[in-house]
Amino acid sequence: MIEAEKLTKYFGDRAAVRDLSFEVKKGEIVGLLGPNGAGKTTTMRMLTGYLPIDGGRAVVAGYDVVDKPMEVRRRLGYLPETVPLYTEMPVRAYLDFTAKIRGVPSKGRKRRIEEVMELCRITDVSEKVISKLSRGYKQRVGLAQAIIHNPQVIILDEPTVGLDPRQIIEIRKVIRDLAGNHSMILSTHILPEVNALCDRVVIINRGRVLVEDTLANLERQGASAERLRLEVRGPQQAIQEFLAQWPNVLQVERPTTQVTASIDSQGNLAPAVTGEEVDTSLSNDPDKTAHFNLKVTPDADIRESLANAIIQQGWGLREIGLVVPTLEEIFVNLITEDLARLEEENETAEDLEELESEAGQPVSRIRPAQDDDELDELDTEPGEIVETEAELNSQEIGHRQGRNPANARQRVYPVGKAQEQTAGKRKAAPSFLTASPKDRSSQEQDSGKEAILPGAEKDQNSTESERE
Amino acid sequence: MKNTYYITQRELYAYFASPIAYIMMAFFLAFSGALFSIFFNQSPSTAELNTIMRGWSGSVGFFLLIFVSIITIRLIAEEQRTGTLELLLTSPVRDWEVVLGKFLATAVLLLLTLAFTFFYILLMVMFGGRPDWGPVLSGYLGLFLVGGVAAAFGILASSLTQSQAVAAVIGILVCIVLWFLGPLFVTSGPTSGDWWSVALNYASLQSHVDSFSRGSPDLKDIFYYVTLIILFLGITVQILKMRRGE
Repeated sequence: MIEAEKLTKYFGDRAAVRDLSFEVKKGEIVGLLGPNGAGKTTTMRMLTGYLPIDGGRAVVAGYDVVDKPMEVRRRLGYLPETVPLYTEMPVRAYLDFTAKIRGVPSKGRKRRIEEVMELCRITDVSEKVISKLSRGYKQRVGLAQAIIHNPQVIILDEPTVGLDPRQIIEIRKVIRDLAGNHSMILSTHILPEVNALCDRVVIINRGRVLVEDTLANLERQGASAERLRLEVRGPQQAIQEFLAQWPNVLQVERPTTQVTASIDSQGNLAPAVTGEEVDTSLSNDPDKTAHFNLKVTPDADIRESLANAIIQQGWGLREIGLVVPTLEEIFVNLITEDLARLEEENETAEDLEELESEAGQPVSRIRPAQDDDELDELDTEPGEIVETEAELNSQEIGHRQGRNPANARQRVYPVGKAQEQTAGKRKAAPSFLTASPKDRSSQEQDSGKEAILPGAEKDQNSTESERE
Repeated sequence: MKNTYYITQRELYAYFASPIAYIMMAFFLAFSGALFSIFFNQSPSTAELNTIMRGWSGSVGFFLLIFVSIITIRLIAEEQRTGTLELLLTSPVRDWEVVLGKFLATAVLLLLTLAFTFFYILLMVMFGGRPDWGPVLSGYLGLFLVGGVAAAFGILASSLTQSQAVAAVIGILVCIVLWFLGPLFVTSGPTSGDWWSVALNYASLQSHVDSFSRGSPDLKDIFYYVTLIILFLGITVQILKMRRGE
């Protein structure tokens, strides 16, 4: 139903979408997933014919988007990100207009409007002026508009954005009701939505497809490196050593803090520290409990044997379980890998060093290396001998990938700088000109938090919402 | 063509749903009424009906320009801002159908507004005036065409920007310039014979109004207005095509 073949779109000399190919079969719901600015909206706009295509080909409902735009539009329902509503019109009049321009024949048009209002659960507001409706209703009116002509292909750009959880559930119900008869493509950056609605997912970043697969496959793929979660009461030092020696255990980790990652418009990973810092010092107090994360070799279920062994040691086993990677983790991993690739492509070691020094020193642990010797010290573990050049290289890559999120964060949020800038601004203009009292207080809050990571994260978020 | 009709219908709906059309109609009718009183006071007799209407239709055009410029500014700028343009341009509707539909809706509103001014003639006929219909109607035709040019240019200005304020300023300024081109450079200056003076005079909206209000509309004057309308609407269609990339 939808075939995109090497779609390309340039804005100026920046490629917003590059060689993007994917396919949506009849009756399928495909989720277009990606961080903000990955090119989701641009892709959809090209498929609808709203944006001219700079390269490649798109076929929708059997017609080429460029050669036969009218045929495509007749068979296509589209809900853009900003819901296109004539807010001065009542719902029914609005749907009547959209039905007319979509070519719904006058015979049966009335009935069709009633049907669609029923389906989208907006019959109760049919006579109300759209500007008076709540956001959830507006979104559903937008959806009704997209399906009024019973199109073969439906394209929904972030259909649930800005809705409260109850409204999201409503919209999803509507979308699910539509499934089966229509081929659908919906973009989102909310991962549970994909879980709830889509048969297949296309993950894109920086205008290219990273993965095109079914959800089940994707989750299986992510689960290849199994992990175990343990909570044990007992002398921690001893437990850790015991665990490390167990066969099939590759690595023992102590979870320090809970880190959730968010992804900003450039596709950069921004780890935000949530929750409290857990005490990671190893004590031998037998009454303390500790959490461990084990990396184990895949396809070897050691849970039972390990549980027995721990109990035999006289320690209290409180929890043992498999850690199945969530879609979120898979997504973040994919994007992180993609970013690492970008670094490989674009940046030399010098650039990295430069960026680090630019970024200031938000956390004392991360600082620019003073000289090459120090870098070497950091890169290789003491006592580790590197045999070949290939091995050395592979180690370096691993190291860089591991540190990549930190690098990425530094690149986007030069914390020291941001602080300077806001301070400068406040001096330059009297505050009543630059901000309302409410804004000012939030600014001060922000600047207070800039010293630590979450503050910087928040600052970035707020500027982003302003841009929108 | 059906689509054009649907869009005209919706635009008319939008005109009457917003207060701006009513306000601007009131504004225009107030100035127009004032002008009528002025011309009536100059020759206060219903027998002079045709002289009065000629004076009125020759000078009310300027207010018509402002009126039309202001009611047309929202036509495309607002749709661009709210995103409804994306709805129109991804529906099986051609760009020119959208533009033409908007123009026709404005033309209908313009006709309606001009119809209100028929009240002056009605009044004078009631008090014994006997109109010579030819010049009266041709004066109206002239006004309608001037308003049409302003509407076409207003839509063009509206397609240039998302900001209605900017569109309004562009629309009104250009209309004023077009209106005064002739009188500024030509009428009785020492350069009135030069080629550029003649050209500017020809380009001026006002210099074409006279023949209409005198009652002998020249075909080339009609041609002039219609050409401008088609030109401006055509440019608007092209701008819509170009701006899609943004």
